[in-house]
Amino acid sequence: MLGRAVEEGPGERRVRLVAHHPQPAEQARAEALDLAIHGLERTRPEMSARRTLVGWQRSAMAVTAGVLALGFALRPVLTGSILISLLVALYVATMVERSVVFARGLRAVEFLIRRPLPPMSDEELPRYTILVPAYREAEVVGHLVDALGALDYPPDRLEVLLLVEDDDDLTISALLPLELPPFARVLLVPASEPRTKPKACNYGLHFASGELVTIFDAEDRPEPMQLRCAVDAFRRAGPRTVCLQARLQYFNARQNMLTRWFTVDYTTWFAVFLPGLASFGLPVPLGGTSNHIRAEALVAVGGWDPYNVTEDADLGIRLVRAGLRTGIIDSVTYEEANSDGLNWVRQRSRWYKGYMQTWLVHVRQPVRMLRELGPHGFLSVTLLTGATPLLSAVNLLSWTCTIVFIIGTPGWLVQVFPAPVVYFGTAAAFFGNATVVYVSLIACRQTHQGHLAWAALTYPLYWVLMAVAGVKSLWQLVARPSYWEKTVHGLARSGPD
Amino acid sequence: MNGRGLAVDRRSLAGFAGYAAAVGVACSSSIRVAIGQSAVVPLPAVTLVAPLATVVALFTWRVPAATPQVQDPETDVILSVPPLLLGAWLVYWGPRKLGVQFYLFRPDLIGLFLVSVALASLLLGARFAAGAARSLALCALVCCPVVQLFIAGIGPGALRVAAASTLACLPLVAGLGRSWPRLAVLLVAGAATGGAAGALVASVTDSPAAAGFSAAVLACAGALVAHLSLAPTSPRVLVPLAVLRLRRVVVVALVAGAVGLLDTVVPALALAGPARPRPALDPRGRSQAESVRPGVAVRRWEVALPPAPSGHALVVTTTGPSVAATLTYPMDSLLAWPDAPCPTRDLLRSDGLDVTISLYSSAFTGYRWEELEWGWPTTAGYQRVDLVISSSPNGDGLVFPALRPEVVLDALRTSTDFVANRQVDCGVLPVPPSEAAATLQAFLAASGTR
Repeated sequence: MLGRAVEEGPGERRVRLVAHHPQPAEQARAEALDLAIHGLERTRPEMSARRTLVGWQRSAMAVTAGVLALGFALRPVLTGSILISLLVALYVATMVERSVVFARGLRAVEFLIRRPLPPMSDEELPRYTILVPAYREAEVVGHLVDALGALDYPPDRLEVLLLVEDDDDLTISALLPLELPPFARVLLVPASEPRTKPKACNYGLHFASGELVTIFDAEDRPEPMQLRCAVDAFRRAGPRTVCLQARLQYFNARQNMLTRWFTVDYTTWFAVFLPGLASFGLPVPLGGTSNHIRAEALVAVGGWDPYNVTEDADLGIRLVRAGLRTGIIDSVTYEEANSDGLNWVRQRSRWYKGYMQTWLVHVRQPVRMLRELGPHGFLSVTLLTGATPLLSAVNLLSWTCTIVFIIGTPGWLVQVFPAPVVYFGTAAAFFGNATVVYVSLIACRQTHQGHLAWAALTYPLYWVLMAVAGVKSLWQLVARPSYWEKTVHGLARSGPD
Repeated sequence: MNGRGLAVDRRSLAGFAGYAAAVGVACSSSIRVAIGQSAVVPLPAVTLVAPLATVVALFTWRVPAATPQVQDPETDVILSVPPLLLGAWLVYWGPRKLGVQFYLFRPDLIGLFLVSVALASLLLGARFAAGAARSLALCALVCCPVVQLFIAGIGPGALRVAAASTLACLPLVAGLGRSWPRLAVLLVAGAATGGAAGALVASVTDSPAAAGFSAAVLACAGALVAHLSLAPTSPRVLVPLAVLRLRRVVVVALVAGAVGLLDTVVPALALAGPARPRPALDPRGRSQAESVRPGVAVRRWEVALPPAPSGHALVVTTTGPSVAATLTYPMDSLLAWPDAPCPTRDLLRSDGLDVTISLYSSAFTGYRWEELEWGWPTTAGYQRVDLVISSSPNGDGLVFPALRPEVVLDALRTSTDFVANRQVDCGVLPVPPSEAAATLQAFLAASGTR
């Protein structure tokens, strides 16, 4: 089979795949693609990230840059002091907001206590569609069959759509020898720009028949009962809860120090922070996978934004702005932790860039955003999606300055740091960092991952990588806003247990 | 490409050669100082061999083939900026602020390490820089005189030779071995070979220098042989070199040139200063003397300094066989002086000497001490001179800081004190350099050492 695949050209392989997985008619494909790319932009142009900045935002940026340039030219010390004071204020605000959400998340411990699912007959289960976008995922697509086969859900009520780009010969080649379950089929997404996951998901959503929809990445290993768990949670939740986020966890946490830190990161995020946000009723930036959504609501809010590189976070905010809610379910999806530093930076920079895109999109109409999200929601979204990447980028500069300050105390550096700012900044650094390390330790303990204690204690070293990703994301936001920085999968030394 | 990774192809050779040239340009002054200092540091062989071992380690570095070649030019650039800024700043700051002790602590070596890593990231990619960082860091560490002082103090004989050979091959071992067991085997092989070779040569020639050098070279050879004899590591491949991108080459050349210029224009101190040996300063009247350790003598006496208002000054000389020996005492004993936590420093180049001027003042008593410090080679070795001028606001009795014996271990503590004291640095030195220069000229003329 493999030898044959090598002899064949991409065209022949595609034909063979289509023979096994018939595709919709060309007109339907074209229509679905058009909607996938332009749907949101047509119905809600103000929510589309196709343009990073709208008119007034561009003007505001230009004015800010001009004022700063003028300030540095005329009164550099004063301008530097003001800028640093503002940044320190942002640090402090973020620290306070995070601490409040962390504290709330820690109180929501019941989230971590597993409850047995009530018995559900197959007949009462809704039809479920699983979207699996896979772009150049030849290394991991083989594991997908095992994961799908392990799901505990009646096959006649399950639909799996593997979304593969038309010209992705690597993945098509890897799929050909696989025997997919009868409820799974491959949908070839016509090759087009932007080459993003949300575009593929929108395309899949067009052909989805499920009442509930979820996304899994090709390397994901959801717990077998996750779909039933989501169905049960939807039934117990009110009608406004249209989205449920499962907890993401890594199966290769022990591979190296980076995977350990990354696991601590995810554990804190999904086990403490997101429950805290959900508990406050604040917008939950959804994870890239394992978010279970009512298809009807998803279509109503316009689906995913194909130009936003963190379409999941954006969707979470749009749901809240539409008066809907997101909940958290106690079910885990195991993913592959990025074990390579450069690969990690690429992935994280995409997330940061997407966060900033998301913030810039939602703040286009600040008054409306404030009205729809409320003051706390507005602040939370601003600090989470706007300030986090910015402060990560600034960290690189502030650490360098701190080292220079400690060793040499140059006069210019002392001058631009007024005493109150130094005290506030130092307090923010000590308390903020200590809080994050402390919460990380607790999150690891609560999720029975004591082996991550050292990783949690050395967590600040991980922030260096975050800072690099922050700078990269800022650069890309300007240079290539909708470019999807592909994360390479298949670097794990061992597969999931 | 096998797992041992010793094969070098033409493309990688060009890339590494370009990289080595860039580092050479950027850190030319630091390299010159290191070579000049190799005659007076405790383990000269280490200073000379460790950089060569580092070059070999960099040439043999390979990426595990199991990792797909994820490269990211944006990250390469971002990762290079902070170390570049920090490194350039250390290169500039070190000599200006540490004075004569610059030669003991050599902060520019950290700068050299940072600049090398930054250039590696720019030219060869962040993945290469991360892989090379260990070797480069160890090279900077083992070349540092204060580290060598510690190692040299562990005792005479074979133990010292083995320690020196271990130091010399450390950068190479760090580059060749990725797993701890392999690292340990390579290190033991290098230390054993070097130690045995050094002991053998010492027994034949009675020359410590020859023994040390043989030990260092053969330690590297031993580690290399052990590496080749061991089972291959997992397959490795060359890093796709970023060197062929013209824009990067231009950027690297500009950066290397700028840092090199900075490194060159910063006044090099003491060792690079006076080329001719001068007669050692000797007291002409009463003096206090003490012997810190065999071969190192400290003398302290007062002299009259024309013209007023300086009046009297305290002279402290530390005379020993090498720079390192004289720099460990009295160190920054002035920093321990009560009420004087606030030194400001500047450099003065006068009469062929690079002099560090430190000003200590007490906010409580108004006392002010001005210290001029320099070092020079003498016919018998090396002498460090501290000239302390005391003045008080009321013109009452002169109060000089007390001397305090300081052991090598304290040298590190003192550097920490120094860093801590920088936090209360008063900023601008209020002594006009011309006044300090006049004082120095007068002193040299009076002492007959001009």
